[in-house]
Amino acid sequence: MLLELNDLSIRYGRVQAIEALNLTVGEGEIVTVLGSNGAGKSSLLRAILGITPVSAGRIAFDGANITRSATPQRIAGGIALVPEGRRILINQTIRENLLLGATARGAVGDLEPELAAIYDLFPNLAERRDMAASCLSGGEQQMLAIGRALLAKPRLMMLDEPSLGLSPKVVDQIFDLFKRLNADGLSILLVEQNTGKALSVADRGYVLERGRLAVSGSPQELRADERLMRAYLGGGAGGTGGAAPEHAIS
Amino acid sequence: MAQQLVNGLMLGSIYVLVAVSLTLSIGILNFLNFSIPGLFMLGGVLTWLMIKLGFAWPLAAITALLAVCVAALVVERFTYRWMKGSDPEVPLVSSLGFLILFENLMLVAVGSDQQAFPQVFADFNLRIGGLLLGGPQLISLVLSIVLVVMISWVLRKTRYGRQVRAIAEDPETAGILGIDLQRIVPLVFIASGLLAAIGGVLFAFNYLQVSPFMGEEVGLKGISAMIVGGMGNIWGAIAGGLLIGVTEVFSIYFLGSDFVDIVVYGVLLVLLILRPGGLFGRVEQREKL
Ligand SMILES: Nc1ncnc2c1ncn2[C@@H]1O[C@H](COP(=O)(O)OP(=O)(O)OP(=O)(O)O)[C@@H](O)[C@H]1O
Ligand SMILES: [Mg+2]
Repeated sequence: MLLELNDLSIRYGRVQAIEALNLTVGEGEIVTVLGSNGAGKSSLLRAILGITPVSAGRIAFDGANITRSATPQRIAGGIALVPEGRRILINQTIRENLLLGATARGAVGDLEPELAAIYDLFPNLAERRDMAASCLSGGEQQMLAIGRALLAKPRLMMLDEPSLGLSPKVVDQIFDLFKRLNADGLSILLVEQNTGKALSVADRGYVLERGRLAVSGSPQELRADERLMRAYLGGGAGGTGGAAPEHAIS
Repeated sequence: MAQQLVNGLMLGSIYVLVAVSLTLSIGILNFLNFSIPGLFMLGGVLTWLMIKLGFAWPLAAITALLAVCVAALVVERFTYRWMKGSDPEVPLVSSLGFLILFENLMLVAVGSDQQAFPQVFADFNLRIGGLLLGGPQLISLVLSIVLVVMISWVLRKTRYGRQVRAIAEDPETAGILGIDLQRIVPLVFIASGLLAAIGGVLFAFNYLQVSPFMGEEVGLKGISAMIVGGMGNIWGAIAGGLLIGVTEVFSIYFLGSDFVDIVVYGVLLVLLILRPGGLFGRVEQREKL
């Protein structure tokens, strides 16, 4: 297994964001994690990257226990995150944003060939490479965020709701890209609320309901499972107190 | 007149160093580090102390600067890092505590009197068409410019500079990208502290006196220079520092020393009323670096 989570729990004070979760991503797999607002999806990805501390459990990457490793080491080891909301640095140029993706690799020599490969992938970025990233549209920002993550040379790319706020055409485009990157050997852990789209590219999926695993399985199994639907309705009837968690701005 | 302008620019270059030092801290870490005038003072007083102990001045200055690096790291450890997550006023007040601590440590070490600083550059002056340029002053003007240009270049063009600017814009994103804040933040404290301390050393060589409280007035002018230039903007800090230096020298020349502070702070007040965001700042969006 490339990534293996054992009984992972994350809590913020009294709020239990993830509870005793077991999850794996195999080499070359696309795995999706689905769940409604506040299900704990972002917390999960941030814990895997080492930004959010875990309260219990174990994270192993490529066989090594990384539960206590610092974020730069994890990224250097081959994990990259395309964060929720893209988090582009708008005061820096497109080129600088891309270069920042390679930070954890240390003083590597010439990055120009890798930049050129990204520009090939996203011609929109190429034209404006030396302009401030604030000039980009939402879709282009998402492309920049993906390109930036690729510059970390990841073996596992984690994406947090990449389709959020994008037009269907752009969503199709980036999901096609995920397929191609995956065919080239990149493993992907994809967090989405766009269930249909995510299941269309995934090999396996997990559905979270308020931090707990509701169901997991193949896309066919999940599509047929009423627990997937239920997870999106906020855990059953009536919208009780816990059903409307405050929104974390990650 | 031209002579006064030259003198003003040279005094201003000291303020520039302190203002840029403060600006790095505010612009990158969003932290108004009140210990900076203390680090300025340590630069001057420790150099004096080492010379008095019989060391050659270059060795004395280098020792003082190294000591300031250590002091800056101590400040980082016990203000910024220790109190992360608390209200923003907490590290501010504790850095003020470090200013007072440094001042009193030096008070115990050297006493409260102004100490005469030895003239190590025996009268080497340049005369250019009627203008008298003092050697040490000229060196400090050039050195200030070189240092600030260098910092600006590092920030713009290097890998570390990009990482620092990323932290300035959004520390959390910087963390997600794998920027090692535990390593970069102390470096920022050292760079900022060194600038202030170099200012203190140059002040001592130029004006030939040091005291445990020499940082206060300069620190106040440095903060004013930073604010009038536009908080967090290096070029603003430079403009502000030079402006204050020139205003100060001119008002001494025309009105006498009793009026200096009235004129200097009067001008600043007027400027801030006219441009509340500072010379290089924007009112709504604080521009960084
Ligand atoms: N920094 C934080 N401090 C306290 N509670 C938090 C924090 N971040 C998230 N939470 C809480 O943890 C729970 C899970 O949040 P998380 O952001 O991981 O959910 P999510 O599945 O990513 O939601 P969304 O789809 O809205 O992005 C929520 O109840 C949220 O309020
Ligand atoms: Mg989220």
